[in-house]
Amino acid sequence: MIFSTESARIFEYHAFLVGDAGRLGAFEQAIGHSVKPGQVVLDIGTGTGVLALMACRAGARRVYAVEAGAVAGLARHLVRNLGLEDRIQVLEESSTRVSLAEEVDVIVTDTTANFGLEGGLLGTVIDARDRFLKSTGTIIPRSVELVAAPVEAPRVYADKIDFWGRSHHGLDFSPLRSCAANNLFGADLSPGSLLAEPAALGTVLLTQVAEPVFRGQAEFTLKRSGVLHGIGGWMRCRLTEAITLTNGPVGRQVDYVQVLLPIEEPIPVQAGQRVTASVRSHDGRVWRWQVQIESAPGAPARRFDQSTLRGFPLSPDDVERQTGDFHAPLSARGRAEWAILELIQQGKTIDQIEAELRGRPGTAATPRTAVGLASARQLAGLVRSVVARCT
Amino acid sequence: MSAPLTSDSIVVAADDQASADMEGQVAIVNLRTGACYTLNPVGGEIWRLIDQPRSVGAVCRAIGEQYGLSPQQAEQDVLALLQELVREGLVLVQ
Repeated sequence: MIFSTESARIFEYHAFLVGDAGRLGAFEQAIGHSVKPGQVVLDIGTGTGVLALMACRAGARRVYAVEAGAVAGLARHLVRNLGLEDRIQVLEESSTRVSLAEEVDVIVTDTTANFGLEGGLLGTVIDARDRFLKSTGTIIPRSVELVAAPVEAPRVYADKIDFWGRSHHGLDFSPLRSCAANNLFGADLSPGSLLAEPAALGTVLLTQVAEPVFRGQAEFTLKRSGVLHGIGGWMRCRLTEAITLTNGPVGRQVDYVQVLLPIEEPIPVQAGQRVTASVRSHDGRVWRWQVQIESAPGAPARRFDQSTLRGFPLSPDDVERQTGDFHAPLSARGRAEWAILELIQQGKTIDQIEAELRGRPGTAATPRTAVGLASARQLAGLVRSVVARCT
Repeated sequence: MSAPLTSDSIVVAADDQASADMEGQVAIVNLRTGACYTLNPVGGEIWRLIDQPRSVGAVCRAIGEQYGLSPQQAEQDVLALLQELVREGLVLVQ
């Protein structure tokens, strides 16, 4: 992450995270309660290193602070300047790809998202727990509960979904509306938007969960009449036995908003009507939600079955590449990168790699022609990109 | 190992999946394993037919009529696909 204006976005986003006193206060309490002097801690998704630093302050002998994003550079800079390099090791990598020299006493991760699991929490924690956590170890958070309620949210629905059902600038955008309605949207839901008492869809115990799958269901009896726009969702984390954290509309402790799982068509509903919501997800990446609305006098029962798989137009070519039996020849770009990797493997410098590739005859197998590298500048960019990603 | 499908078997798409139409084809993600699948237009038509519980025989008849296949050919094609989808956990036999 160098020579880029991306750093401004990183500072802005992490100021939001570090400035969230409610969330970090709860994590600091949980860390203080769980980390004993001399223990080893793994912080997954360390960001600027804030939880790793807290673990250090609680007495950890060593903290492995893992961060796949470029913000790892900020964590490393902080650790060096605070003189903690002998206790905090920043690893710029996905946690599923790191190896640690020892088992850890505590895994801490603040990668829960608005609806708890969108950040891939389950797969990440299962992998780290099974590879690194001592049998007596602790995970913060211990559990994540997904909570939901039917909501009336006309403003959010108008902005996020119906916006795409209209014409803009005399152009018809309505073919996009159906896709928009199949997304989980961040939504700041007020307590007044709830059409029924919230209920837990399900709870995932991070110490026990075996597969990165969430399945949950809840039934609601509407406490007032209104228009149902979808199911509001949020999380309730149990950081320790005594410390919980929620971004729910009632009693919200963190700066994160909730999510709206929209239904494709707003439905007028009456007090006393029953609504059932069933939610499933694979590792927070693909979500499916089914909403059933019981019939009422003058209103037939309705059922919605939606998923984020329908949330963006899919290309058969792209999906085919994700299937297990896909055979693919290397693309022109792939052949080019392979050639560069071979030269890296031979110990060549960047200048030597560029010089060698420039000198090769123009056949389809060479990077120069394979990716249509019209200039030395394009070749230099490709070589540096491969070096940055693969070395 | 599940019992072989017959024309009387009732089949339905599993709950642990998400699917989407895709330019005439269908994309499916198994929500238990994360595995991704694609179905061609005929497979997609079979998939839509079993959104609700339906007998294999009814699916065969519908596909045979729609694509002008002999009953034997329709049954062979439909059974081959359904058996694979059952093996992958995408279809339940009731």
